[in-house]
Amino acid sequence: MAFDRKFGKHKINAFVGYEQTNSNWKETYAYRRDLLSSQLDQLYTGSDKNQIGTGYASQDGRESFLARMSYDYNSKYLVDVTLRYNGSFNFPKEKRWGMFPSVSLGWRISQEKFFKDNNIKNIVNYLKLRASWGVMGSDDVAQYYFLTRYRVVGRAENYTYFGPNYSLAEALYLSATPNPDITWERQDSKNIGFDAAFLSSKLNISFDAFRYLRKDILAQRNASIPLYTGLSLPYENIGKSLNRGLDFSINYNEYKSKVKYHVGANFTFAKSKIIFEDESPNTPDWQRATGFPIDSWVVFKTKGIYHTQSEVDGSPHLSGAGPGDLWIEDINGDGNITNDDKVRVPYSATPKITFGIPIGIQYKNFSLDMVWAGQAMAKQLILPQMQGSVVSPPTWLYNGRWTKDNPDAPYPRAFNYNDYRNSVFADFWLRDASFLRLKSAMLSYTFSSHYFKKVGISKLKIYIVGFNLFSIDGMRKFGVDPETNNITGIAYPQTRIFKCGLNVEL
Amino acid sequence: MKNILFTVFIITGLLLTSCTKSVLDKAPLDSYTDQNVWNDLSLTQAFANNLYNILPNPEHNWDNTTNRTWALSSACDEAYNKFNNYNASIMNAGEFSHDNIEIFDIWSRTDKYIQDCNIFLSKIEDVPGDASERNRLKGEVTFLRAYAYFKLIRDYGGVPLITKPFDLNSDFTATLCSFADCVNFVCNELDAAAKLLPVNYNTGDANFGRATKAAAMAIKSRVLLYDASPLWNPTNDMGKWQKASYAAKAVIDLNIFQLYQGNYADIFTTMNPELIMVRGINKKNMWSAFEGVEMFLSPIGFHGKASFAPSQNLVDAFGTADGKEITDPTSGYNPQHPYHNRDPRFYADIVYDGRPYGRPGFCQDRYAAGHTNVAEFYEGGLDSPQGWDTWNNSMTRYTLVQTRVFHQQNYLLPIPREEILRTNLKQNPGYN
Repeated sequence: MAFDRKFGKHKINAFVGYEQTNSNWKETYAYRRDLLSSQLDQLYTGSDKNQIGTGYASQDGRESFLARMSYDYNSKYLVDVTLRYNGSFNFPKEKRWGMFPSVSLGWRISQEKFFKDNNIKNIVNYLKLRASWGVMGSDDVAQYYFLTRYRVVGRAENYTYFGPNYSLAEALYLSATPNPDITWERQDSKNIGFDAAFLSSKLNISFDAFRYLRKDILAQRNASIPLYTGLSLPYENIGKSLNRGLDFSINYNEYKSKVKYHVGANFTFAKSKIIFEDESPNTPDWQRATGFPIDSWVVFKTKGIYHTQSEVDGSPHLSGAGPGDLWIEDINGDGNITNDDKVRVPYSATPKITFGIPIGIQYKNFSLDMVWAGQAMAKQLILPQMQGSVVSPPTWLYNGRWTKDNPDAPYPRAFNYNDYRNSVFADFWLRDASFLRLKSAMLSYTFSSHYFKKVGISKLKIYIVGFNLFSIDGMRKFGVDPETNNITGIAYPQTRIFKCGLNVEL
Repeated sequence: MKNILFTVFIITGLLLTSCTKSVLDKAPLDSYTDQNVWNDLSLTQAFANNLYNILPNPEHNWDNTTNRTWALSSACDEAYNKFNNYNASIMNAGEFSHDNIEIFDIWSRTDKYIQDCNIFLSKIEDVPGDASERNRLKGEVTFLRAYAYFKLIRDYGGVPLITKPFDLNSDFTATLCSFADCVNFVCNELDAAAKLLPVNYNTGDANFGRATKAAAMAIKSRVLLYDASPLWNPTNDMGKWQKASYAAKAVIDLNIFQLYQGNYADIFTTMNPELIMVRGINKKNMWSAFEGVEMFLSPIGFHGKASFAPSQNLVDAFGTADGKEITDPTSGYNPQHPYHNRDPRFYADIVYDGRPYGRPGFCQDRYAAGHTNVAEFYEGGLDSPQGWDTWNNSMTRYTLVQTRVFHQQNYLLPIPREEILRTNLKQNPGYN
């Protein structure tokens, strides 16, 4: 139901809507083999040996009421209000509805009279301030946590057999302890920024500051609830985290001169912080997640590796440690190295800074386009032997490994993935994942169109393009790409691609 | 503008009141609810069936349900586990700690089953249906919970004894009980279970494989035996031994079980009167890369993984045919022919170079390649490091345990078997 009207300088656009989704899944599976003949492919013609008949069903449902209203006064003041009222089957009756409003405001200052009159417009061609606030909800969690559910045991390793022929017994298991209070996870987003253009709109700047507060995050309380309760924990609305940051982009273009070009930069700084996460009361203070970035690393602190037996003897060490093993620091000072000696560091694999630099130059019929991109303030843990003995160790590790003949080696003695003295989460294996990379570069030549007009071709361009041509980073020397995002170091490698081509437009 | 906003809300309000309840009132179609399970004795029994996973399982299952009695063989000097499947090497090296206990830690898994038992026992009284059926199930779950606590105290000593189910709003504190209290608790629970359970099932009974009074009594004797052992009885209190022996005698006095007098190997592969309780499993899982123990133990020329192999110590522990140690000069042991004239159990338990292994029908590819089902651990043989699968080859090369897989059986009562063996020896001199 929509409403769209304009009177004088007022423009109003509004609509209300209702949305409902229902899904029903039903599956029946029947199988027989050894058909009597290929002439008739019907189930009943098959042998009943090894026949299978089974089925499965699931259902869900969601509802949403939506109202939106936007108001525009003389293209100067812009207001946009949205209300969403969502219901989900996935929450208990009293908790299933959530109200999710959002408001955004805009002010085109460059449309104001004082701006136009005072010649400011010649310098600042365009200026708009904007701000927004909104709440979003998520019901994205496994189904029916609010119910006690007993499911049929389907894993062969948990089958039970009774009777003279060991017949398989039907068995049920409790899938999770119910959480009758489960409800929407919410994100409160606030944003304030401006768009501006200068120098006859050649220079464009856009700036945003954002603050996303996630609350009632659906997570399991598996750290604070003791294991001896035997509870299979459901998701509960317990987490809270904050993500704040800045977005900034600047672009300059010159299309009127002989050498046409555009150059820009975009930059994002984002910092996450855990406000509440379920943690065990036994977790030492130096490992607590609260106040640290999401997914920050918890690692042993090391002083490199032990080079001599006296270094080993003179410090707390893991039992069996010797020269060539990681020198792990005893943080809690109890004289033993245990998991309690790990510390949380304020870095995660998610970069705090990401940036991109698009550049384009055009001279006569030639043009060159490049995209540079990069990140900074990220650390990735790479355990170089995590692939196990099936894969040979990287050369730097092999050549740099500690041996009796190479006592000053930078890296530990030969070890395997399950070596709990060396293949462990330690700052020794944390790598700076910053990089600057030439993502793509394209050189092209466009033929003057008058050559081809007769044959119906409006544009003809030949080009050569390369992807991932060049990068500056700190991880390549370990044989790992800085965009690798797992601790094994195994990732589909960034491919370097060269292409040349012909572009024809009719 | 106000008017318009007002209209918007009126419309929304109208829509809200036009109830569309059915869209959101959904129930899972892949599971039963509390109302279902605790109002239908057949579902109640299905819930109890899963709790039988508390009992040891001889499958491998990538560590998930492993019966550690065979996994631990590599943690002592009985066997060598080439792929270090259970990380038992940390025990061999004396470096076991709570940071690297991993698969040997049964705490969480066992406590989950105890919580399920507690849920069951808190509900069973109110389930409608046949009272005798209900009592049997109650007895079974009481037995299984006691067995779960037996497993815990065997590994951890005293543990918190929890008999009420937890929910999300429970007080999660619990007190640690002493080992003595735990032993008392387990014994009392087993007594209670024994009162509710039938003495025994014959092999043709549909309930064969379920907990019985005899099994409860046998476990009780074992718990008391552990309690009397030096670890928990440093002063060698004879009273504890007496209790253990009375409990064992009570099982014998049931007059149901006897020592098996037949062929040694058949003890492990047939239903025989030694069996107090069995846990059934699917034989086909034994030969599987994921579940199978047989595949883990078999030589590579038979497409096994040869992951576990006996130590020479274990091989040497088998005496000669006349019952003497091989170190005894009068035994007639000949190091040049180490597999001749040995204890009959040797020939049933150890796969050595020259011993047939498996039925010919199962290894036809060996015959097709001009070999037989005779194990070839010699240099260049099919089962040697130069054999069919050099990656999985056997480390020990000349000998390999065919650890008798307890296909269907788990012994609950330790019975001295020396006597039978001596008889066997006499009856079957050419036993192979």
